[in-house]
Amino acid sequence: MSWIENRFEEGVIVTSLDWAINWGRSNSIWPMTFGLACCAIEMMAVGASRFDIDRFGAGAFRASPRQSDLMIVAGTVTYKMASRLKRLYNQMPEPKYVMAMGACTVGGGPYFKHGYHVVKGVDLVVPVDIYVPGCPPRPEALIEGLMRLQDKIRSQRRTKDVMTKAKEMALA
Amino acid sequence: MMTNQLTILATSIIASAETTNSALHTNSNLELVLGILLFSIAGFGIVFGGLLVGSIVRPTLPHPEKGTAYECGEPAIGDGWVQFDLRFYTVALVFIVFDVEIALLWPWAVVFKEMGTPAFWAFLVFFLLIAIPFAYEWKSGYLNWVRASTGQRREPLLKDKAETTDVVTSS
Repeated sequence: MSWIENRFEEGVIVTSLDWAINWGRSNSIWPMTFGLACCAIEMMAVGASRFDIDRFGAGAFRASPRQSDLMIVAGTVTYKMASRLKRLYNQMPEPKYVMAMGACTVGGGPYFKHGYHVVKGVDLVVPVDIYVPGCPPRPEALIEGLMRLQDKIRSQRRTKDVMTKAKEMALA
Repeated sequence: MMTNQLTILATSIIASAETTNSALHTNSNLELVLGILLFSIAGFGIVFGGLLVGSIVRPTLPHPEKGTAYECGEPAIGDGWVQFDLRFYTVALVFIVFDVEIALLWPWAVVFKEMGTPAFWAFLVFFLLIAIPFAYEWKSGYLNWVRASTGQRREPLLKDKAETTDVVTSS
């Protein structure tokens, strides 16, 4: 993705850069205002004062995909909505993360058997980073999901990965 | 200006080389030039250094849909950069032509009998001068008010460059 990625061995400069970028990214995850169904009510509760997702730096719900890092797919994704969801995901700038919130987005949920109109899991449409199960998940569960996403972001590396190293060793 | 500063700098350096080190602080010209130089270097360094670091670190993953207009996920019809009809320009032209003409015709008509022939010729020149924009407007069709909505250039509809991904419909 970026120029520096997969180019250098672990060194003090690259790892420090990793730390700084991951620190910045994980503590200012701006979600997109994207509520599809009843899960959105819980998402609103998370944004409000009682649960206050702003404590984790993710309280700035943006009304445009251009400014957002995280897409919380909160609610039932219908087939009609899926193409719109895909387009919104494509319009988000890098780096972008997707959180599947609720049973419907995880795998169809209550609509799995008879829901002719529901996508059986939003990971069929966009790549999902974090799954938050529940129908709907409690706000604490969503905060937990956000913290796991922060863990994921903090573990991102820009150094050479194992495959590249192995390839170089094979060629040498 | 720049060469002047440079000559001041050169003479200051020569002068400061001859004098003692403490005399450098009293030399205000050299300090001024050095200050400007330092600030320029720092300014350029911060701006271009930031751009350089950004270009190295930032992820670039272009996608044709990334640049399309945001319409809540709907495919946008056309883009946001359409030309709007700026009617005020023609309205202002028409206003100048007719309003100025009327405003100057009124006092001219009052004093016409007293002044006689010179007044007639003077106003004829003015009238011909005013007639030029009037003819231009008439020729361009700006006096035809309904024209703008029909004759406006239409932007071609933006085709969906990126194929919308079909979701797997099998259950």
